[in-house]
Amino acid sequence: MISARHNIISLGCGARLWYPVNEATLSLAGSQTVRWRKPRWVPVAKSKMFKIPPRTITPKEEVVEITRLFNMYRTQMRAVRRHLWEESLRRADTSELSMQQAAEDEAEHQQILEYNHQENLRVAALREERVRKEFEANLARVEASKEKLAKQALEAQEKALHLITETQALVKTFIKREDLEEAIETAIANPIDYNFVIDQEGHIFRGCNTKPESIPEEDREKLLSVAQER
Amino acid sequence: MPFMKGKAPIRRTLQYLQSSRLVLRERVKVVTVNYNTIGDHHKGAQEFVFWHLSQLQYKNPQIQVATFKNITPSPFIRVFLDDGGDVLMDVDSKSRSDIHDHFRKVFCKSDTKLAEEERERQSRDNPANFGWGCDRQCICEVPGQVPCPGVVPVPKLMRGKYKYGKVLD
Repeated sequence: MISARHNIISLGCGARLWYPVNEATLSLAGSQTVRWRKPRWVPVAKSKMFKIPPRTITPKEEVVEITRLFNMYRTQMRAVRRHLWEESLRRADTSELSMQQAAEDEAEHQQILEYNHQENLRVAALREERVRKEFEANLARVEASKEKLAKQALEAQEKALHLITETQALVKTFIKREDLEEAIETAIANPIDYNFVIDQEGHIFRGCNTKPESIPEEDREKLLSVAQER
Repeated sequence: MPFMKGKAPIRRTLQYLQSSRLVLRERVKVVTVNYNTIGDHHKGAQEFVFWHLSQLQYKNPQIQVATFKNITPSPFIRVFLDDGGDVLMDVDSKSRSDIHDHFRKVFCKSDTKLAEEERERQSRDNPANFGWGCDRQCICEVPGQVPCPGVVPVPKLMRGKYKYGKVLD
């Protein structure tokens, strides 16, 4: 049955609606269609069958006023829209100005790349120079160190030779087993006196029995300074 | 200076960062600096990285900035553009200021361009706007407009929940 207009219908979940809804459209999920409409096969109601809808009559002055306002509004809206459209055309990517701008940007970019390239070349030249100098310095250093090593080797060799000759000379003074007794006898016969005396002028008087006054000035042995000896 | 951390904490101050003019052009996407930590001819690059890299990143937060240390015999800056190509900038034995000027000339927006952009930004700011980043947060702050519904509730006829139907319990 169709429910009355202002009846309040309760749904399955307990909530209630204040607008009219066909009972048939209520579902378990709680959703429903809002609008109630007569089924299409039901004819027009008797009270409405010959109803003539009244024609609305607007007074002339009102019509004129409304037209005037509407025209004003339309003109303004059209003007705004047109202005925005023209601006979008002006700012578009394919417009003349933007193409020009793009070309200019590209040219600027190329210019800047060129400048960068020149700078790089200049710096490259300086770098080559520096690297070359470093290389030469390295070579010189290696040469110097080689020379130094060679010199050191030479000196070491000389020293070794010197040592050998000295030792050879020394070996000649060694006392052999056969000459031992002879050597002892000569040693006993010639005792060496290690005593000496030094005076403040640097004269040295050897022997424990020598008197400094007995030796004349010219024959006095002058002691060489340590530095001179070395 | 609060939180004076690191060797030259002035590099962390807002004033220092904002005063830089190293705003990169739109084409540039990645900036890479290759240099060594020791070496006379790397000194300029070292100083450039020490003083100016933070400024560069501050002014260009969307650009990737990277450094590669101790893998190159001579220092260089390589910048990658949006078309995939790269531009090489040799900085061997150059001083910090030289590198800074050269970098600015080649990769950054010029002073005139920056001034132009600044002017555009100012003109686009409509004083009638309200919301985030504007003078007024909400239209309810303007005298003559509807007061804030959080303070004075709006009449029921203007509220959607009464106009378009509400489920009554």
